[in-house]
Amino acid sequence: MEIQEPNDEELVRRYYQADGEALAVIFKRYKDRLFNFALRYAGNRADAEDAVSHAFMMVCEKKYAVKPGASFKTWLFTVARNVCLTKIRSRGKFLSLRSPKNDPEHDQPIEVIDPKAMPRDQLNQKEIMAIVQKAIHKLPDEQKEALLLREYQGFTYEEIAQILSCSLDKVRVLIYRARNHLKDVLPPVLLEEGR
Amino acid sequence: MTHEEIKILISVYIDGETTPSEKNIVEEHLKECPACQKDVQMYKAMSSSLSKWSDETLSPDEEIKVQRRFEQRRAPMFTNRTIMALGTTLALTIIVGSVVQTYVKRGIQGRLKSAADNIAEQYSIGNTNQLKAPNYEQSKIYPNQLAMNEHRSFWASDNEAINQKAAKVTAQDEPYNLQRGYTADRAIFSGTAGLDFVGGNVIRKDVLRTAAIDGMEKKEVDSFNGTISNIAPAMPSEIDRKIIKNADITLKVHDAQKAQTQLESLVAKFNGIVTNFNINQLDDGSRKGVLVFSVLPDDLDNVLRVIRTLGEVQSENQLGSDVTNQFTYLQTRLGNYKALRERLKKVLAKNTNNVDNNLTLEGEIASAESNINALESNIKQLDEQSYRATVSVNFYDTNKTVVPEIGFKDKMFANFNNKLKDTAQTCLEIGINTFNGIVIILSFLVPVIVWSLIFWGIYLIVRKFIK
Repeated sequence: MEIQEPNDEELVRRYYQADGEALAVIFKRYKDRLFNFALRYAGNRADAEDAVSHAFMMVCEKKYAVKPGASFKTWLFTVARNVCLTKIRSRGKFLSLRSPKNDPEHDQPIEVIDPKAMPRDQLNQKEIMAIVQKAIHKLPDEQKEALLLREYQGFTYEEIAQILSCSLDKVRVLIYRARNHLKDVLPPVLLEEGR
Repeated sequence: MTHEEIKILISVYIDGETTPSEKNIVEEHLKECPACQKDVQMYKAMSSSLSKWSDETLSPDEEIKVQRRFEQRRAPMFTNRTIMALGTTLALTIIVGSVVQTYVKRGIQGRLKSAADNIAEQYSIGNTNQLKAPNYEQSKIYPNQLAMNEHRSFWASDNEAINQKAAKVTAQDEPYNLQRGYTADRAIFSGTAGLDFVGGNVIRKDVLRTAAIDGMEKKEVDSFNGTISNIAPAMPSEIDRKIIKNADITLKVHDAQKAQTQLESLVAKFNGIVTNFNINQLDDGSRKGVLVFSVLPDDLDNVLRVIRTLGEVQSENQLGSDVTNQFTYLQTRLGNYKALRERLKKVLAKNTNNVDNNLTLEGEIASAESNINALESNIKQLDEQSYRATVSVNFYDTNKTVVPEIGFKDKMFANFNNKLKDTAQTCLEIGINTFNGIVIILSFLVPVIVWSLIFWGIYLIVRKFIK
């Protein structure tokens, strides 16, 4: 007989009742998922680390209120998303003070070979990843986070609406527009079936 | 539904997030729209391409770094909640302690005050018998300590009395265990006896003997001759006591005019006699009055009880002066002068031939009559004073203007104001006690907190170096 693992809320409740092991389980369960989301969203590992740290700090400070209908997972991602958003915005302000011409990172954030010029068979895994990264980073923030949460974290539209604090219809539109945007940015070879 | 809306629904359909009705709409549309069919294929291919962006994991170093960061916040010793709980407990303890302290202090003060009032009342009416003195024997010896003192000072200061040989001191029937341990049974001094009481000693035995020859039976004098020097002053019987009672009371009233009317009706009710009355309006509009009247001593307590209800009692004094001995002394002197006068008259009647002697005797008789008149006047005055108790009532109001009759609502309001005032006073006392408590606790806690912070800082520094 398989032992069913306790759900997130149960673990949090245990941690609040001074069960230190429960926090270790939660951390193990979410550290990589949070890190991946934050890395894809913020674009660098340092900010992603900060987002994960901050999210768990909030857990330690017992900021999450255990109550019916309040999903711990969505709350944790909301915290991480807010940290990333703050980082991105502060970085945007900082970059705006610098001359784009003198900023090599700004000129070439990701080194990608023009996919349209490449033959279809020559695109390997790494190159496809680079193309996808670049395309996603070009998306507006809201579309980007909605798409990331859907495509990479598997959140339902309702959960995404909770994380982004918006309506379900808006989530539908954001994801549709993100896809439409990618349709224009990604090379046709990546939009054909059989890839 | 527009085509654009259908396209949005197709995106939702790909993710399996459509409602059953939306799903039907999309599926119906796809049957007819090749472009949208193409989009479905495209979205599926896009998802496949996006999944090529592989997941990354935290490196072990990064994981440790992240863990360290948030574990610093893990299970903090003093969370906001614990600080709040501690603070609330401390505050409640101080407040409850202050309240208890305030009421306990008030209770003790109240009991002390009532005990003091009781003692004062007992002394003021000259009835020390009711006082449970530690040395009951002493109070038994001198039933009225005040009267005794008065008695002594009276005798000690009045040498004339000694010289006139006019003392009459009657001892009580029961044996007296006097301060010096002397005993005398049925000590009776009659006739003219001169005693000089200084600190309770009896002297002038020669005078006593002379007095005995004048007025006492020989055997009585002999029986007391041996012990007379050791006999303390005997007390007059309490039954014949003459006590002048005075009461002085100051009232703060709402309306002095009304209080005056009430006092006058009170005096009339108890058949009192007004001896002095005065009421003045001061510059600030308030009024102040004095009413002095006399009533029968038995009515004094009832009169005072009614007066206390007329306003707020600011002060009250009751005095009881025992003038029995003075009264007895005056009466004795009067009797002696009368006897002297009669004797002189008899001698004058016998000495009809000697003119010079007759003139001297007539002069002596006139002098004796003069003394008799003065003594009778004094006796009458004392008698009247002891027959009536004098009450002096001082009353004043603080009304700046004439206030109409107080109605029920006004009375309620006045009561409310008084209660509010009392509550405010209580709150102030509690506040002061709370402040005192906080100061005391802080004075103990501050060094503890400072040392704790120092040790905590050292601990953090050491831990950082170890890590």
